[in-house]
Amino acid sequence: MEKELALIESFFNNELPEQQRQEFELKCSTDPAFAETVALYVKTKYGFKKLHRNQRKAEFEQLLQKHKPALVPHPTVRYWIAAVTVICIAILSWLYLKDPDLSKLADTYVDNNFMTLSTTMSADKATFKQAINLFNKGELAKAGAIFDSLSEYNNPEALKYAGIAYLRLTNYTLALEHFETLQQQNLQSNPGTFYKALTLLKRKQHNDLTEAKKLLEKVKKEKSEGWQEIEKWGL
Amino acid sequence: MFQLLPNDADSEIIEGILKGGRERKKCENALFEKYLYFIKEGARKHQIEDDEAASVYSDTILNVIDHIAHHRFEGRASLKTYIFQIFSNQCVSLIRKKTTNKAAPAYDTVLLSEIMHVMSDNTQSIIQHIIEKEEETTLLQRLTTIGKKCKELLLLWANGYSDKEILSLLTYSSVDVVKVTRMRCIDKLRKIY
Repeated sequence: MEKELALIESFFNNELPEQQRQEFELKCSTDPAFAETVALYVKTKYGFKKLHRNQRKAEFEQLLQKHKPALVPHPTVRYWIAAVTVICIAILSWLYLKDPDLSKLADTYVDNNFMTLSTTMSADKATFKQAINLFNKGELAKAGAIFDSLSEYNNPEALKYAGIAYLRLTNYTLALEHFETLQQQNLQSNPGTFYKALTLLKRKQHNDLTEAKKLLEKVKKEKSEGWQEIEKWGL
Repeated sequence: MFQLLPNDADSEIIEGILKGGRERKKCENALFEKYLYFIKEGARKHQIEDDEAASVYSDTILNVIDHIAHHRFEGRASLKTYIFQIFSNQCVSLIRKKTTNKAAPAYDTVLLSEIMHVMSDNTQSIIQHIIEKEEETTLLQRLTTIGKKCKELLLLWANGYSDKEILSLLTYSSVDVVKVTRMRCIDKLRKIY
């Protein structure tokens, strides 16, 4: 038996001369017992190879779990992803720092400054005082109408307050009209541009944000009324 | 010996596998780890699951190790290209198998014909016919029942280790003893069959 196996091994190792090879192959087809032994040899080799492969595959699986980069892209791709991520973070941070949420800042400003009006300011006329009182009581439409009528007598203060009343009423079109008129007034301190920007930030319509930014930049540059607030906003 | 070796790491791996011994396993693992990213690429390119691609990748590496150990990798292409080519082919085979929905053959015919490649086609089919009388799972179960010593010896032999290499890894007194023991172990299997 061992001799037979040695012969089979010599055949598979290509160690037999051509004639013996031919005899070997002939014997495989004519001698079933011999063919069985050849099959045993091949089966054994195949089987252990397969067992080894299964074992190695299981070990490779463990390596895979350990490293996990198998399921991540090629190193070059990884570098690209990392680079793009860093760039995105940088851009987003820059945008965040560059562009504070202006609408929120405008909301806060209006809440803090336009809820009540001071009665001491230019309130020498009874009608003006009445309008301020109405405003402070929350009767904004009535107050706005009175400020409106007073503004017709070249009263920039009334014009400003009328605009603020309409802003509070969320009638942004009217508020803008009033602040634009105020802008054109030749005053020592004119909040028209700043208030127009605030109104645009509250309205948030198409292009309002861009337009508001331009106005705020202008206020900051010209140091007109509202510039200190804008600086606080970090613009 | 190799016509094109793209980098030192690859040639070290190849040399390590060829050297055999304890170094071989380290090099095999290094090879497996080196091109792990093929799995993701293969899964994406061939639209197969990640675990399917991982299994194909493991088979690819085992085949390549075999090719290197038996000097069938000639270095005409870089090792990376060689692996990627085999990996891609095997991914395509997997897709074909899935789409034709054929039951997998009981035996790995590629592996069988690699063992029997020195035989004529006619003799191969005679032997294969005898082998297929028994199911592969039954065969593998039977092989595991052989003693521990025979098992470790035959595992090494089946994976291309020469008797001289086996001598350096296991506790035998000479190459001749390794050979005789190996033959006796195969003969023992006949009784188990």
